[in-house]
Amino acid sequence: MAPKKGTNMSNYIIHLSRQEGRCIASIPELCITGEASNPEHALANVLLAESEVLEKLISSGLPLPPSVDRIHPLPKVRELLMKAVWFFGKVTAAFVIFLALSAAVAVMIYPTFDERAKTYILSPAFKEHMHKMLKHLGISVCVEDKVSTDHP
Amino acid sequence: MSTIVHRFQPLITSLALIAILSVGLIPGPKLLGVWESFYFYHTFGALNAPLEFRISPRADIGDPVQGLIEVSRSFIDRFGLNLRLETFRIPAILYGAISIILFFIIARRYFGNGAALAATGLLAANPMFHLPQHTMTVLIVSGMAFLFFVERLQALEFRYGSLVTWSGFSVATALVALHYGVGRIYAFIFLGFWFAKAFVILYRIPGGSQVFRSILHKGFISLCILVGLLTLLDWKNLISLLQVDRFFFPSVSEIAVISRLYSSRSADLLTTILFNGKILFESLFTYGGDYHSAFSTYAAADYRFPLIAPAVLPFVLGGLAICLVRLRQRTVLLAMPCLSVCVLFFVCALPQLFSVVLINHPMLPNGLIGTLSNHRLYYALFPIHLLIAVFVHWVFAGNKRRRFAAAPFAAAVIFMFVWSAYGLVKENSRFDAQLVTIDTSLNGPLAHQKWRDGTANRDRSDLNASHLQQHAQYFRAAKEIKQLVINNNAIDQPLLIQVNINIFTESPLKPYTLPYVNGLNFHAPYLALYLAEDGLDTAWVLMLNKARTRRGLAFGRPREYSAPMLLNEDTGLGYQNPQELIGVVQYFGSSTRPAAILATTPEEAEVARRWFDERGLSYRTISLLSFKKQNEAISMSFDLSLAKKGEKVLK
Repeated sequence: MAPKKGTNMSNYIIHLSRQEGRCIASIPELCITGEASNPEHALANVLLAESEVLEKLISSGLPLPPSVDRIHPLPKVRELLMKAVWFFGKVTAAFVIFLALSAAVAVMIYPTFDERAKTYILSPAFKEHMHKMLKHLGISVCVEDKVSTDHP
Repeated sequence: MSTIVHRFQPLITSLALIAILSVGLIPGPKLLGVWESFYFYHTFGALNAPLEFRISPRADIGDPVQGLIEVSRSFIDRFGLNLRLETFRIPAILYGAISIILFFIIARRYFGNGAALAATGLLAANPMFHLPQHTMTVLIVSGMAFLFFVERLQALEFRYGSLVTWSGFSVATALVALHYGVGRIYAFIFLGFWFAKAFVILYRIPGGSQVFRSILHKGFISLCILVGLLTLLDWKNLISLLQVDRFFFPSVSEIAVISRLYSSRSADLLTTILFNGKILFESLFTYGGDYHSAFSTYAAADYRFPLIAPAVLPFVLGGLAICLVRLRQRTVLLAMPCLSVCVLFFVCALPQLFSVVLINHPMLPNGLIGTLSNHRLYYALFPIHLLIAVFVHWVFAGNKRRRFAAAPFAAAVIFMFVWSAYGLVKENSRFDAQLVTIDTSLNGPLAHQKWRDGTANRDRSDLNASHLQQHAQYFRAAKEIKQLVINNNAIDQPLLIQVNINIFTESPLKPYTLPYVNGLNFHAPYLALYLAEDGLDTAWVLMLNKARTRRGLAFGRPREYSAPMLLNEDTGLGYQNPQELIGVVQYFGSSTRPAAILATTPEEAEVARRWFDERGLSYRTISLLSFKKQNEAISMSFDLSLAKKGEKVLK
């Protein structure tokens, strides 16, 4: 159906502003403005321009641009993203704090804890446990044995 | 009358578009082009050629590992086609057809049906569009990606709020990113212009900033889709995207000032701009001259050919003038057709002025050699033809006096289209005649002189003709073998074709124009292709090292190519370690077995014989030892040892 001239066929918000004594009415979604010395004429001009644009779009088979509040896709996406970022941030921070506290408690309870930990880390048992764990996780690690050059 | 035209407009448009697309069915040159031959060897010369979708850090014309360009082999395998020049080029022909349709859509949206058809027709029949469409290089697919990118951007002018359109734009950008580097630069400059235009239009309108912000948000989502897409194709693309400088200006890019590749051998900026300006001017306005060849097919050997014919030039200039006058004209929403076409023209033309110019070339009169090639100029074809659409639209949609001239004008455009298409056929016949008559027993400077086209070609030495001579030798060898087969009634029997590899004297070991394949047996796949082209469904033997060493001829994962060869002064060309080889029969065809197996060395012949014996096939051997000279019979071998084995040997 061809749009009727001079009426707001779509539900776009019409912006009215005054610049240097001139009234400007605009529909930013359609990229059109109507200028006049008073608001009524500016409004009439922009509605005329609107009907022209709508006519062009309809005759070309193009859809009307969505109103700006509908184009804005992000508020929900941003909200979700922010929630996710906060959640993972909190979980990570909590995990780090938990690890640090546990380590501090362990050191306090067992004064020789660090010594024992060092011994365990340097022992072949640690290597074996790590290997088993990584294998379980599906990670393959190639450890190159260093050959001593002291011996022939 | 106008009502009838209006009613049948879709039918008329479809028929006209079919006629335009059918120009793409005019075959290309019967020789592989320089880069095309490299792409062919890279894809078919390897034992296996998996597709790779990495953003190429080189992204130049000499890099065959770029997205959709290596699909020929998969295409031939999947559809069980015989390997021929045309089947190898099918993807390129399809990409060209898609480019034509995309160009038509772009021109139609801005300038209507008639103007779009006129411009699209002239583009399809332009030899500089037709040649890439029939040359399997990255250029045609990059051009298609670029047009898709421009089309999506154009669609966004009308549908900036549609997430579907933005997603399509992401796909187009991913295609641009995966292919030729020059296209990336042009595309992203044009994208910058698009956002600048949207900003200027919307910020002038009260409340428009909100719309612009929403466009930016959609753009951000589109960027996320783009990154996701490229990462899905290959996660390493993520690294390539982070290296922004390399993404736009690869380390081997030939851009004056920015590239340090040739800094010690390149001319200063002023000389560079003047030199490139001269080439660009010649290409656009004078239809040749000192830096352009007289034959469009020579562009396959890296010579230049003018972009537009003199008859079309007034339309282009008229279109440019109209665009400049109507620069600020906005049709609807964000669409500013004249400004967009004008900017696209300058985006595709001006950066060419900064192509590196090399100095002190020993074989050139002024020592200067321009890296500005037809590959880069190719992109300018699209805005040039859009300018033609602007002019045609001006004539068709003008006042009564102008519309009076529309009918003869339309007739003139149709005549030019037909004449250009006829020109393609004529040039093909001329080149075919040249191939048949050229003396293939020659090599070196004497041979190169025979390919001279009567123009100066000031920054292209005779050595460019080396590629033509090399492939003319394969072409003629294939013809002579076919003749031998016919003469000996051997057409329906399995054949072992033995060719003396030393007859390919132009580039026995190192092609001048293609150093990437130095030391490999590239003769066998090339000759097999030309034999197949002559209707002899031929396989070749790929000799591999027992150690199965892989090598990378271009960017991408290393592949298994032929074992290295050696040029011995006494024995000629042969494999370096013959005892350390294994052979594989490479066959690409629809039958269960090839009609012939080509062997270029004794080791390959042995593998071929074994192949026949294992299958219990009796076969005939045909040998070509040298090229036929005038009044001399084709030389054929009589191998006594083979005869003893019970093979039928032709004499």
